[in-house]
Amino acid sequence: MELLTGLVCIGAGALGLAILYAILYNSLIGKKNQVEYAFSGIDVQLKKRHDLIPNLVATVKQHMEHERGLLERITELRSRALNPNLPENERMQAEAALSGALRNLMIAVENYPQLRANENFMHLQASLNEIEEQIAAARRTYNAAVTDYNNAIEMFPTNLIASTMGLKRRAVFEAEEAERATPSVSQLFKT
Amino acid sequence: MNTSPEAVLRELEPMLRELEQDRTQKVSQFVRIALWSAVIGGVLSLGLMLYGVGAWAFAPLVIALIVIGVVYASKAEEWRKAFKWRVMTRLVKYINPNLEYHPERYITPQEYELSMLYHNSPTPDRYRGEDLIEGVVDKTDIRLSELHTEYKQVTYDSRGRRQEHWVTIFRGLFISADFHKHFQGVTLVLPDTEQSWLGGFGQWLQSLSAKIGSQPGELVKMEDPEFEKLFKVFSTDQIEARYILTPSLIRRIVEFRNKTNAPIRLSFIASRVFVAIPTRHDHFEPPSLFAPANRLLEPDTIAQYFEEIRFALAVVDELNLNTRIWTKR
Repeated sequence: MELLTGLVCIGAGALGLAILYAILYNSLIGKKNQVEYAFSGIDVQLKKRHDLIPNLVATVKQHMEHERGLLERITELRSRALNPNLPENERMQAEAALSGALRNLMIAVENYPQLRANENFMHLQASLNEIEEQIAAARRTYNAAVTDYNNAIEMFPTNLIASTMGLKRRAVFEAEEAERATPSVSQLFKT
Repeated sequence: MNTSPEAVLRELEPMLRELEQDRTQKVSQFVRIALWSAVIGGVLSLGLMLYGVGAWAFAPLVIALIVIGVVYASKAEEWRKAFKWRVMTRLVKYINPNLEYHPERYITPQEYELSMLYHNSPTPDRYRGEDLIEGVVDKTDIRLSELHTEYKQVTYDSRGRRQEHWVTIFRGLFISADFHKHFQGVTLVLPDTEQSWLGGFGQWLQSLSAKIGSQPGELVKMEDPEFEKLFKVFSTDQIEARYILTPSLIRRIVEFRNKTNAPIRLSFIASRVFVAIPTRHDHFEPPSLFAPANRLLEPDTIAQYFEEIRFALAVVDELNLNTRIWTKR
């Protein structure tokens, strides 16, 4: 009789542990997928920016003779970012450089009053502003998802399961060095 | 436009003097009626007492008191109306000529409901409001008014007697303004009650409340710790919530919250922003009927009304709703 009770207890304990394991395991998978989903959110916005760039470059080209170098750099960075064979981190670097170059373009525009009177350009500029804001929002969403995920894989008890699943800490997006520094127009001509 | 209280006072002085005269007239009318009622009621009561009708002797005195009360209420109401129509309408115009002031109108129940700010409270059984200000400030169309919403709570005491209470859901300033970005979903910024004293467990409860459907969408965690302490955010779209709540807007909300020192709520729905600022203070009201003479003619009084109007409109500036560098023009 006692043996039976003991067996039942062990069985119940094992079942409880198994359920707990399943819950924690699923929550970790959920968090991991959340990170990937958030990452694809950034990609959607970056894609929108890629679509906008040819139009933008074509519009400003006629007016900005002196900014030819900058425009070429933007076009080149765009095609590099679009290259499917590029490793993930290099692609992100290209995107960051593209962000910086576009920002510098918008500053350079200040010197071309006829551009700022151009309806088409104003519309493109507003769209770009909008997309940049969306990119920033998507990155913050990604960072929040990564923080959540990192917390889960480092905190007890999920860390025990995470190590058996081979989950690794992920890095959050940080503002690029180039983004943080105030852009200087003169530097652009050296590239 | 020069909106220094002194300059406005100079311009409005003739009208204010008239209003002041009106007020003294109302006071003297009231005092006359009150005195006569008291005297007549007193004499009649005294007569009846001598006649010996018992407690009924006090009836005339009671009637006299009721008359005094009613006359006071009607005079005070007349004075309130005169003040709002004549003074407030102009003061609002001085602040911004594009704004209209309607003393008796208010934010509609439909708009209140649309805002979802109190969607977890019962539907109001009593809905009151006043002092609607509406118009276009720069490019932002804005509507705001005082609101007081309540629901009826029925309880039974130990002897099974039915008791009704009115419970306030919201009382204060309610603002509805155009937001400068387009969005489709619903984002709510509510005061944080759980996380501030339950910490991580409170946050877990919050995300659970979204999962079981008592809040729309899911919990959105923001990176600003001060903001996170004060508010909790729910949204149907994580990215859209952050698109709306940029780091700079978050800072502005925190500052606005600290300035008003009230548990404010915000919601972003259908490209509009709704803000509820609970206040105890009844805004845009005249000085008492029995205020010292010429109170209205003091620059401080005018300045105080300006302050009240500006406070109500501050949302536009503080939350930077005027920025139009986005696609929405």
